[in-house]
Parts: sequence; C-alpha cells; structure tokens
Amino acid sequence: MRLRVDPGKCQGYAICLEVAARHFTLDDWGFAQALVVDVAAEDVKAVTEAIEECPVRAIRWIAGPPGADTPGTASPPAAPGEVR
Amino acid sequence: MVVDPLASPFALHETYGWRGDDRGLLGATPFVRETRDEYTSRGGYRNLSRSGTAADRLERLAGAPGMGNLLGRGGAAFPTLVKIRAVARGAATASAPPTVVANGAEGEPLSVKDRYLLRYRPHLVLDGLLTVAAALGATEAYVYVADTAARSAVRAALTELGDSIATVVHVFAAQDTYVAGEETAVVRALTTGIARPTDKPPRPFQVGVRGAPTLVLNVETLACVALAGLPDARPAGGTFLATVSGAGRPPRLYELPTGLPLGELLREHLGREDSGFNVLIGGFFGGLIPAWPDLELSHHGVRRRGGGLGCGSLHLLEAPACPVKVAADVVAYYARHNAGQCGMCMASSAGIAATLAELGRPRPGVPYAELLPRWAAQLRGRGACAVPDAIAGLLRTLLHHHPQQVTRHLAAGCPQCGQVEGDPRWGHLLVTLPPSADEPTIARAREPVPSAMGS
Repeated sequence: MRLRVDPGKCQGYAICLEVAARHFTLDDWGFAQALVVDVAAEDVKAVTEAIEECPVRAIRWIAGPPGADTPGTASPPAAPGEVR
Repeated sequence: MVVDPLASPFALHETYGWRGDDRGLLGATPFVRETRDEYTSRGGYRNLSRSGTAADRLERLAGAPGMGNLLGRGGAAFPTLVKIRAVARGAATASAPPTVVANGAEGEPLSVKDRYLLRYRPHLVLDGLLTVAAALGATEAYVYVADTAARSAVRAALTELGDSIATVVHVFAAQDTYVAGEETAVVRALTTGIARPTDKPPRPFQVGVRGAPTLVLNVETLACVALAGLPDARPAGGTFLATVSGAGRPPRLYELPTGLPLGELLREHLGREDSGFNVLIGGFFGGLIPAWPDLELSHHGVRRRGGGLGCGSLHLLEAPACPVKVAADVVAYYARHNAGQCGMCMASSAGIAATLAELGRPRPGVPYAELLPRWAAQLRGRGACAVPDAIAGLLRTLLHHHPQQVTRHLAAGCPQCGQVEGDPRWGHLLVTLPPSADEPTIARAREPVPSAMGS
C-alpha cells in the first residue's frame, strides 16, 4: 500500500503530522507531503488514523507497487468511479 | 514589456526538413493546408474501411514500422503502443466503449508544432486518430484544440472526409491555457468543461471521458502513427518536430532526425557551432542546460544529460543572457499560469518566483544555496499535474549547470535580473504562427480570452 496526499485538497492543517509524524512532513509552504510512500504493516494503523482525521480527506491509499497506476503494467484498470 | 505576439521575433514563418524530402511530418507545402485528395494521393487513409476485428487492426497497427519504439510527443515521452494496449485491455472489461482524443491544446508558449500540424496537415493527424480509434473499436473521437485557425482546418478536413469515416469525430474548443493540455485536464474538460488536472491515479486509460477508458495522444504522436501506415513508410518516430527560437534569430520549425547532435542543428540554425549557448529545452519543462554540441536530440539522449526533450522545443540563450533571469521568468510564468487549484503549487510557484526575482540584488545573508535544492526536492511528484516537477527540474538544472552564476548573484547581484514593476517577465519566451486568412484582423479580437487560470 502506498500513500498519497492529494495536492488539490491539502490545506496544511497538519493533523497528519500529529498522528503519524514519521510518515508526513510539511513543505516550506506549509503543505503536507508523504515522507514514506510504502507503508510498513505495523504503521498502517497510525496512517489510517491520519487519513481519517484529515479535515479535508486529502490523504489516500493507492493500491499496488510503484508504477502500478501507469499504463502497461499488470494491474487491472479501475472501474469507472472507483477510487484507488 | 508589451509584446505583440505576431511581431518578429515571435512569429514563425519558416520550416526546415532535415531530410530534404516531403515524406515527413512537415509536408510538401509548408503553411498551406493539405487537402484530402493530396493526402490520399500520398497513400493516406488506406485503412478507412474497417476490415477485420478491432484486435486484428490493433495488431496491424502494432506491426507498423517503428511503432514499438514510438514515444509520445506531448512531452512525457511515454511509449505510445503501451498506452494504446492499456486502453484496449481496459476497454475489454469496461461498461462504456473506449474514447480516443487527439490532444492539440499545446499550451507551451515556446512550441507551435502541434498547431502547425493541425493547421496544415490535418489529414495526417486525422488518419492517425482514425487508425487508433479503429484499433480500439472506438466509435467516437475528439480533436481537442485551442488555436482557432487549427480548429477551422480540422473542420474543413472533416468536411472533406464527409461520411466516409466510421468514427464520429468531435472538434472541441480547448481553453488556451498552459494546463488545458495535461491529459487529466483534457479528460475533465471533455467531461465537465473544466480544463484543470485531476490527481492521479486514476489515469485516463483507467477512467477517462465520462468514465470510459480513454486514449489521449498528442497530435504529433498521431501524425507519426499515420506516417508509419503510409506506403514505403520509414519507422515511426524517426524524425520529430522541433520549434527552435531565441538567440536573436527568427524562430523556425524543424523536422529533425531523432538523435541528431545539437551541434549540427546549431550549425544550420546559426551558421556556426558555438558552445557558448544555453538552451531552455522541452517548452518550459525540460530544464535549462548548456547547448552541448554533442547533445543527442532524443528523449533518452537529453534525459541522460539531466534535461528533458519534452515537446521538442529549443529556445537558445546567447551569452550574456543570464540563466538565473530566464529561470526567474519561467517560474514567474508558472506562478501566474498554474491551474490555481493546488495550494502547494500556488504557494511554491509564487514563493520561488519571488525569490528568484530578488536575485538581482545581493542577498549574502539568506541561505539560498540550501533553500533552492531543498525546494527542488520538495516539489518532485507532488502536483496533480507536473507544474511542480517543471519548477523542480528548472531549479535542479540551474543549480547543477550554473552554480557559479547563482553564487555570483547571491554575492553581487546581477544587472540583468533587476525586475521592472508590471513587466510580464515571460513575454520574450514566445513563438506564434502567422495569422491565417480566416482569423479576425482586429487586434483586439486576437488577444487571448482571459481565463480563470491566466488572468
């Protein structure tokens, strides 16, 4: 499972840093970025809390290994409307 | 600086085919629209009738010379056949039939090659579009284009085709903004009318126009597909279009052999091979690198040297043009012309533009030597579109290739970098095509329509 902060949603509330400090940081303009893209199993709980606590729901899991969402890889395409 | 976009040195009136024949992308009659009859007489539209299954047609397309190595010409250089096959696989399980889009929005101010193709070789682009539509079993296709004259040319070409084609081709008036041509912005515009990027995933091959798997290909890519289907075709992608500007010379549209050393192009364009130039490469996107005479002009060749060939444009900067000033001008453009929807992009582009603009005066107390690389690192891969990556790449190439220049600015300032209040800094970074006969002649009507993103 990989982690992504949607840049169109993040407003820099920084709640994610409070609940999962090792996984997020703020850039020099105060917006969150995921520090750890591939999350270890033991950290999934904290990261899930960060996802749920984000006031604008800017954080999400992305399925599959890096590159799985580029064309031509083995992962099946998402159905219309499916969020990955 | 007030810029008349149609004045020299911005208006491009010259083309130059390196191979010296008319079998390539530029065509036999530069700046004149090729008719259907002319294109058909060259062997075009051989596959207009849809024989066999879509799968057969896809394999026929895949087997065309060079198709396996063709890289997209919109800027990202993604392998075209891989993208086509991904849409075909998605379409096999999707509820809606796939859609194909010819992307001719061309928001890069330093590139005119897509507009050129649509204005003067619309049948070449349409042949490519119809070929991939047939290979995917798509019944609907779009030509997405901002330039008015290009749109008229495509409409005229479609009128010439009449009902001889099995695909319904819609001509869509794209917004004339920098981000409108980004592929998720294309999909969003065709679906909702809003031409701004969306975060990835999903990508258009997964969820595209109205949810259908969608193939978005740049118009030059489609022209390459069509050329590969002509009789006695050379391998697809053997040549590419390059909008070459700067260095006080009139801009020129070249068709170059892929992999040509930059030195040979400089000799042709400037009359001499000079190693004192820098080049802003790939629109505003591929970085600011020295114009090495041995730079191999291909996506791989430029990437090996830390830049990006992108859309193929080369803007030459003759010494003593200050690379820091040009970088500041480009970032100022991004600060104004980003999509205006991602906080991190709006804040970072404005902040970095302001910082670079300050480098005209000495700033010994501020740790720019640490800040600039840190910002380059922070922006990578962050945006919904690639504007933050473009700024990161520009900073990276500036610091890597011009470190002494940056250091000198911090210590002593720079007379070229002084900012004039109210100056649209990027006004000199522009290439245009001449107006066509059916365009409005009233100066006011030529002005770009203000948009939420640009104004």
